[in-house]
Amino acid sequence: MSAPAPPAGSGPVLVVGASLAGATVAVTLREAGFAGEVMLLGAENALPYERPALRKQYLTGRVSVEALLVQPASYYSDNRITLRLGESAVSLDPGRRLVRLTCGEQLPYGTLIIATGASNVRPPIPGIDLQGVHQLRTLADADDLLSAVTGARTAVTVGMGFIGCEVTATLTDLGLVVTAVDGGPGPLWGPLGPELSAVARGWHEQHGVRVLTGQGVTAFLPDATGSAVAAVEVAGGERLPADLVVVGVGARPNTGWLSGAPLDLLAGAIDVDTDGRTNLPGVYAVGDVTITRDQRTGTHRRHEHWASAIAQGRRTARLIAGLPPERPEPAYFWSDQYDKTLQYSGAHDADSHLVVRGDLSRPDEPVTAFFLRNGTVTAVLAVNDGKQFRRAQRLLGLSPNPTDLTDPAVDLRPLAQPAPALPG
Amino acid sequence: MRTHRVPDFDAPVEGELTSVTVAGRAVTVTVAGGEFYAFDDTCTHLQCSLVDGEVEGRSVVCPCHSGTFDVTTGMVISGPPKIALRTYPARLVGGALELDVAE
Repeated sequence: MSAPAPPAGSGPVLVVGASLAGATVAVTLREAGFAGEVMLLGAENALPYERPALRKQYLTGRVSVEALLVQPASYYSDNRITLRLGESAVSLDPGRRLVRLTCGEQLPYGTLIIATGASNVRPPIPGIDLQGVHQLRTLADADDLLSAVTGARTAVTVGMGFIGCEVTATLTDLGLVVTAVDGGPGPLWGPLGPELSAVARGWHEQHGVRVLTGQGVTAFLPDATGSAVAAVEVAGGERLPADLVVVGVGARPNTGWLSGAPLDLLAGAIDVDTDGRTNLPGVYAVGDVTITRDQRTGTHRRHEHWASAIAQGRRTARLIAGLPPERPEPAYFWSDQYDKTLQYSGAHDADSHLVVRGDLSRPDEPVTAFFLRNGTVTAVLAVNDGKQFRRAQRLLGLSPNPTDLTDPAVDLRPLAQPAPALPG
Repeated sequence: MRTHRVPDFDAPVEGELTSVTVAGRAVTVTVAGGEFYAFDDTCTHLQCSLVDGEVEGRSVVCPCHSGTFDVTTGMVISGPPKIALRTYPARLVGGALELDVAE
């Protein structure tokens, strides 16, 4: 088995990063009956909040800031969780178990949880610093974008990952004329593959969005004042009018403050096991700052979604509190674009192929699809088909007959039952 | 508290969902372990309709973002919702659904 957690009471639990993952650690420690001191340190001047709605329902005004909060303010005082907001960690001394803050203060810890998240990549494109060129990760970013949307008529989104696609949809829903630019072959191509990328492209094009793929941005061009963006120039030389721009071309884990500590990183992220252990005793990491090593298969994977932030936070907190681990759940995420909700669960790879229940060429019909590798379901997804999605999810890891999966007349539920044992 | 009657109720079978409008509210009804359970049809997360979701044992899963509620209490079990669902004591009486709604 794994190494035991450090003894409780050997010093405060310090959570650096008041992210969803970090806040989940603090909340779960208390739910688990952990009685020791818990401090949550956050760089942003905001109570811990959830990000998914920032690029959708928060921008359209459907949900308020309060609805984004992990817990209301009173929760932290009621549960003796010390919040220090607007303060960043600048270095870690694991030998003396100290975290140094921007203000110079040093915080001692018995157990450290690193939850510093990730920051959006700022590509070195001329004009990236112009007013009107936005990023969207934090609540402050969303508020900036929200004030820029008022009065804007045209927008260009750069990058068609989840953030780019969702922002494209939201800005279109808000009435802006949007051009979406991506250097790769198509929207969500990396996470979902070519067939589903074509479906996502169709959603945008149906709503009047011009989708330019395989095109890099060469410059953001200023207006007459020279300070605000007016157009985006793409590799072919075309200039796309833009009252505002949103750049979403990936994120990098926030590990800069750890450069002096002998912490194992992989691809820039903190290398952890499924319980959040790092290579340093008493130091754990959770959320977007990590890359998770699957002890069983030896493979590594980055999980940067709402559900994984919660699952990782819970697992690490339970370990620290001395509770048995929860059964691992398959990875899960959703994406809302226009009137579509896509849900995905599992983890497919390049060797998995897609099997579809429904018709991908009919964008307004619900559809459920399965990724199969050697006949085994590695991932499932659905668009506006939540009931079938849940039934499909139960087939993860099983090897049902593919013709049963594709036939909408076949009830998926019995397929999840174990087959009767063969005689002999 | 007032008891509302839905005559000639087309009752769902075990593990299925059906919705009715009672006192101006969309209410979803399911049968779990032979008992009737009724709750608000509108998910407290982003207002999706739970009747399109899935029943798993004594929980209902929202079709949009997999928020999961206990149908017996309305409490959130997992997922993005933070607010419990309102539930209504329900039973089948002579082919009619009876629902108790607090005033």
